[in-house]
Amino acid sequence: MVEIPELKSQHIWVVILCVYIFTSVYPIGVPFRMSEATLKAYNFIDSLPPGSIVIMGGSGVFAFDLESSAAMIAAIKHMARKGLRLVALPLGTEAVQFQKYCIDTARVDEKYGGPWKYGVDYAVLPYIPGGSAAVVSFLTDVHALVSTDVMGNPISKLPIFEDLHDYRDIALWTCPHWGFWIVRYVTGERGIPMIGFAQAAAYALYSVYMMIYPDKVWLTNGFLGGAQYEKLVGIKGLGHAAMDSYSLISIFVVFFVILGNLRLLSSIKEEEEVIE
Amino acid sequence: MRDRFMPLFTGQKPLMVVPFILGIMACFIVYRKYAWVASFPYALFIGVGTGLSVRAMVATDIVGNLKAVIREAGDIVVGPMPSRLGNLVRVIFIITTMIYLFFTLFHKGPLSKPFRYLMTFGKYCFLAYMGISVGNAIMQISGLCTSAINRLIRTWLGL
Repeated sequence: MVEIPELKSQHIWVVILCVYIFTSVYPIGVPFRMSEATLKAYNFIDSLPPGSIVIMGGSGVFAFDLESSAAMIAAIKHMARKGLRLVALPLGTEAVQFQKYCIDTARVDEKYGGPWKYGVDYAVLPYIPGGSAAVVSFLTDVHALVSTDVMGNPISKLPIFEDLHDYRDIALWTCPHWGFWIVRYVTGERGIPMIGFAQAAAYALYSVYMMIYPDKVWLTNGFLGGAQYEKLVGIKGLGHAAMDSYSLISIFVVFFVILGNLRLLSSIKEEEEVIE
Repeated sequence: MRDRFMPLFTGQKPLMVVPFILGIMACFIVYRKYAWVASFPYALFIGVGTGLSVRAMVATDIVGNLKAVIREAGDIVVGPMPSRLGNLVRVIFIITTMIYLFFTLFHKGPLSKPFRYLMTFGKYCFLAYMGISVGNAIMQISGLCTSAINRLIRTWLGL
């Protein structure tokens, strides 16, 4: 009988690391199902008339929000293709860098050959503290809340802000973040449709808002949602890479569970033989 | 600075003197002797924040949730069979979980046994939710690991 080697945790981690590296270098493109919520979110952005203003509001911790970036980046590409306009509203200290990263990675600015021009098609506001109060103030009067963009340019001189005064000018709010409390003010109080590019751990918690506001709030689920949105937009980004690693690692986890149990059973048998 | 302070002095926005004074008062937090001065603006900040949060939370998380459950309960008898079944499962899971979470005392009487069954079922529903949350959290951490390695390999090493 073949002896099953002892399964050390170091060996498991090495195998897992190899899988991560392999899927990063060679994306294999594992299949995944399209979620209805992601499809509805995509269709809603697709249905917006050109020139509509979308807010990218929220986000907090860059490291965690990176998960939301997969869908957010794909959505920004989609918005640029449709001729929509985007205003980034950072409500967390690291949100400025994160939101700029999303826009830069989407390569939609004209300096990357994209269709968007800063100030005309998109703008990034500075970090605005205050949480709920900041969101409510922004929805009430944008120009009263903030006077310059993140680079210090007066927003009165940026053409995009000529059409953005209060919540009535906002066609859609997107939130690339865990904290989805913004929906209370944006959709609950002002009736603005909202797409949340939620992190996987937040999805289970906040998906209830899709029940509360059906056909007004849609959530994508972490990297899976990112991969789904990337597929709809026709790109392969971080979402696809993460899905590859999810699938392969899941197979290896099942394999290791079986192997570990077999090893346990064989060691019990060996102990019984020793006792006899 | 120009946009915030100039209107104060030119008289364009005289009301801005209020946040200006509150801001100066908030700075007193660093002086132990006069720290009490800062308690006024901080009380105002907390009051505004709490007021806004509670207002929205009641309308959305409590009333909105109740409306959603009632609507889904109504949808059990209409629409295609899979969605009717989905709504039925959701409503049963919500009600039994609520029973488990709210009625934590020991129940006596003729209905205590079926009530305990409901509570046990609610406990399993709650555990299922926790399982989904944990599973999603593991997916999140795994994905973040992928993104970190992806960046390391592609951006830094250029492979």
